[in-house]
Amino acid sequence: MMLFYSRLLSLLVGILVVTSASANCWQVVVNQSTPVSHLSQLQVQAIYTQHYQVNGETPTLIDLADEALRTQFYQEVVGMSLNRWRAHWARLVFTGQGNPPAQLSIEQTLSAVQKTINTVAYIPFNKQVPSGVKVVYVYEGREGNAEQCLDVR
Amino acid sequence: MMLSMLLRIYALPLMLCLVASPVGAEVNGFATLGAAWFSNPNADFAYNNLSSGAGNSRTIDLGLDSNLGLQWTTKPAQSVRLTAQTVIARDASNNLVPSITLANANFYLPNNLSLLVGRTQNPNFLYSDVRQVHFALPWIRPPREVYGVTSIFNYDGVQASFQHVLSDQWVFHTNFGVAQAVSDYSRDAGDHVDQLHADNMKYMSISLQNAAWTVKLSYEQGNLTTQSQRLQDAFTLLSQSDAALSDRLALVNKDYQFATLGARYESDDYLALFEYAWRHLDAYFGERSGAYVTLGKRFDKFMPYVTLARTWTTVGNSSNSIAQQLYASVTYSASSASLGGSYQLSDHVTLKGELQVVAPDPGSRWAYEAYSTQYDYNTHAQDVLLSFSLNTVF
Repeated sequence: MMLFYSRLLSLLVGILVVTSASANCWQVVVNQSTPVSHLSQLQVQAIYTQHYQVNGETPTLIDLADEALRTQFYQEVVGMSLNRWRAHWARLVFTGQGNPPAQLSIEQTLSAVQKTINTVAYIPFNKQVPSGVKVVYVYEGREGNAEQCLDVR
Repeated sequence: MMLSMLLRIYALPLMLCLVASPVGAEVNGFATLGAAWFSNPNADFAYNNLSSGAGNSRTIDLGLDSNLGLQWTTKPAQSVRLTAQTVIARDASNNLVPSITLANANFYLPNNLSLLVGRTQNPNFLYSDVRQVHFALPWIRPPREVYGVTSIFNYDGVQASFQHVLSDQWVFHTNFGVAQAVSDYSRDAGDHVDQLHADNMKYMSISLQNAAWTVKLSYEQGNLTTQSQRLQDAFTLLSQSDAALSDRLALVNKDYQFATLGARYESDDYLALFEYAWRHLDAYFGERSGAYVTLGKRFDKFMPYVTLARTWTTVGNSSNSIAQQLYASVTYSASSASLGGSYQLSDHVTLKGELQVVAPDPGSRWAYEAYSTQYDYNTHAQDVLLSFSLNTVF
């Protein structure tokens, strides 16, 4: 019985951890050398859906490999579900306009942005940004209140 | 026309190259396995340049939507993208053959300008550039009443594009291009295949887009010529009785104008589409227009939709019996209502089904293909097309 409760507790803790790991606030980041200081939400949407250029070049996009986080970013910031986004990208790919973003972990994402000048990525709001990476857009939830942003461990 | 011919000749070698792609290139693909049943046993429901389908020729047709596409993409430099795409699908002569649908170099210039050189797909409709990628379409196939207003889809030429974020609300896109095109067609179920040549094509489209809305307007003009022995014989006969009328109706280097207007509202809950297309041709084809409305509701992975469509043709009048036959041969006025659904089986696979009721107006001889001698053109028919398709991208 103790084992059952122990496992149930582990499961509940696990669910809580998963829940708390889901952010509703985001930072869009680029390499420090990219001569762009600020992007609007519409520009971020255009970059992730229409291959909009940043500083005169089509950027290399990175997606988070974590599907729950990716789903939230697209839902909240880009404004479309992953199902819609997949159909949308199929369209971009098969009209020769681009390839889907590579899917990386948060750490790999930051490392890739650090190394490559024309890369755009997103990370949860409270993730620390290392040197060589700068934030060009912050999404603070639908109400625009950073205090309501979930904590990401 | 040389480029078009070369692209035809090299379709099969290209497909083999795509399979054995060099390192550094990305290979993607799409495929659809479709099946369609048509209730009218005296005519075939066909689409685009197909000359036969389900109905008279076969009870269940696997070739209406089925296809396999392979695409090869590489970026030799940050600002250059090379793309080649080939699609195996049934053609006008009822054979499964590969054709090249994309073969271009896209140069990305500063200020969100880009220049594309080579073959691209018709960019005028909301979905014409991906009409063969069924996974990316909301329906099984785009409504024929609108997308059938033109039969030209492979554009060989140069296209300039520009996009710009307007204030904080809308993204503005524009395309301008010059091109030529060749399209195969058959009016006798594939026994004879003729060609439609489009030259001096100039086209332009503008669109405004935000997260939910897209509004698009396009215009195109050019010259059309058909190479058909059957038509040549008809016009030779017509010229013996009325040479001026024969010249006026013949489809030889005749001007055409083509325009479309489209609007899309798409959210995670709803989809609403409207498109209108209009084409005028200075030959016996006259004027054709088409419009449709699609409404869909998303329930997570499932989206049912309904589409209402209508097309109508205006041709000239003549007391000459040959001219009357020519006019009648291109008359296509019809309405349809479709109820369909799309279900996302996995990240890259969708299953779609659609029930379409098609009602050609009396006298519409271009509504279907492969008519049997029992087909009565003057009856107000109501036919049913039932289609299913499994669609994937990889």
